[in-house]
Amino acid sequence: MSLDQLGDAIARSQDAAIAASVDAARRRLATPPPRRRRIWRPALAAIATLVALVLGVRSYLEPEPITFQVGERPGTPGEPIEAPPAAELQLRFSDSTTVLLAAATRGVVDDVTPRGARVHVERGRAAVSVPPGRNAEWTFDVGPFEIAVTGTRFDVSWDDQAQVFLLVMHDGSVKVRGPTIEDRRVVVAGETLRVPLGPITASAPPRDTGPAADARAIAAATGAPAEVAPPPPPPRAPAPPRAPPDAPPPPSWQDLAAGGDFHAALTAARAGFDATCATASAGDVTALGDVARYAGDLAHAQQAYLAVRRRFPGPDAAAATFALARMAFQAPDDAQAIHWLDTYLREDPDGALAREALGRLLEVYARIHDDAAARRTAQRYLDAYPSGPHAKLARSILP
Amino acid sequence: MGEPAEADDPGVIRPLAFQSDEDLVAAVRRNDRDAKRRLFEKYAPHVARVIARCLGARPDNADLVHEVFVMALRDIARLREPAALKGWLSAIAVHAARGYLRHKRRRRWLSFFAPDELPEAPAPHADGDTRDAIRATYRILDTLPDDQRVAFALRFIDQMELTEIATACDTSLATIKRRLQRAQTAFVAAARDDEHLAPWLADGARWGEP
Repeated sequence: MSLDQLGDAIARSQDAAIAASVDAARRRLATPPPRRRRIWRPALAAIATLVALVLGVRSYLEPEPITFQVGERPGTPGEPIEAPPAAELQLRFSDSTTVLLAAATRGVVDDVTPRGARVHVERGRAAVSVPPGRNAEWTFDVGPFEIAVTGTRFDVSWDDQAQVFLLVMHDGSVKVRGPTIEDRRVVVAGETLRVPLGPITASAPPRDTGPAADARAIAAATGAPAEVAPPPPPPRAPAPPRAPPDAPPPPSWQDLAAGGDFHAALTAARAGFDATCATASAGDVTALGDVARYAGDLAHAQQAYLAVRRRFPGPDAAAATFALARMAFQAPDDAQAIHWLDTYLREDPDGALAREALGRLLEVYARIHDDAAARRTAQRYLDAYPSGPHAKLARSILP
Repeated sequence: MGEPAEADDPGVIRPLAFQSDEDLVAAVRRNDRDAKRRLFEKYAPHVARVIARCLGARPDNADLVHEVFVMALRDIARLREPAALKGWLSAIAVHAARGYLRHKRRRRWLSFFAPDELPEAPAPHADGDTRDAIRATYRILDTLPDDQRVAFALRFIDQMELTEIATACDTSLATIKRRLQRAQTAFVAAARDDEHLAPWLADGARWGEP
């Protein structure tokens, strides 16, 4: 035995208790310090006077609420706004936020504050761009849904006839609250949220409806690129099991997915899952992967996305690759996320989701503290997208 | 519908990257709460280790860890070189440990029974003989001047570099070497007479290279 070994033994025994010390210190830091019992009343009065003075000055200096224009004329909160039947109408706010209402879209700016506004889209479609700001507070009521925004760009629509809500995110993230959504749901760039509230019909949706068509329609109405269009809705395949002649046919997995019941949709799709992956169209298989992902069955989601990659080289494979990357990113499985994001960027460097892929790759490297890779990726991101949504993160990483 | 909650959703872009201590310090100075939390998470284990080396494993070392971070967050504006954050925190930890030792001595002098002294925390990974040796080590360290004790603990238990010790103790490298030499001589002399420590001298009476 040596004194060096004794030193090691002491260090080891102490290290076993380090975590407990850190935990206890963390709890103490999170607890506010106790109030002092004795405070001189005159001092208290002086402080109160000072605070009142400061608050008075501050309220005097409080910035004015932002203003806005409807087309070329000044807008007034509470005033109903409706875009012409065949033309768009732009709302421009004094903080550079813009809301482009598609033709025949109706809404109202409910309230304005120094930090933002509350905008209600009663029906129709809108393309929203809110510049990032530390204190921005914007809320969009779209049909029965509420979208909380700080700085972002997205397209949103509410179809009051079909009762369908659709949100297509381009930059940043928002929080959505509304019917069938538990608590608040975060939707990030590259993602689409579609919530149909209407009755579920037994028939398959027409070929050119659903998220992809809606996204394309929004893009067409607003001039936004259709690059974030989600997978097209699947046709009926494979055939549902045969039912008694007098019983209504059970809904297909596509119908159930269109109604938002992804668990039931996945259950309905399970019997023919392998066959669908092997024989169905790229849209079907991708949609099947989405259904599995939303139902939380990541293994089946991966199987479907891998099938798309194998069978449909090109844009469909790229979309599936990004879906695999996003799934790993959210797991989080950092190694898999890096693999699939790299794969996407290598196979489709100019793809519609390349900017988002590179941004997420940057996030992963930052998350795992791979400093060298994070710096390389940050530089690559800034070279390609100097004003992209991850630019701030990239700049914070570079020396 | 299977989507993770916001707090767990890594898809949300967060200002997570304080890649360097300079960034971290700058953010803490801006009163960024997330940066304060990251400062704690990054360096609390190091601070806890420094305190444990200097004082031994005591159940209330957490109080000192807490005190170090309260002082650090209060005085961060005074940190001249943000890149030297770790050394600065080490120095505060050493300062806190020495303050505790001074306080303990005063209390011992005033109160024969030292009622506020808490027992040493158990050493779960040590066998009985090793536990006895650890206790004997800190009994001897209690007899050394604080300067020597701290230098000895950081060098021979933590294996900290001499330059780091000099920074943590806010003194020169030459002074640290002198303190280590004296501390080692005193420690070995006391250890020879201690039944729990004598066996550890079987392979020599030197404790590495000071």
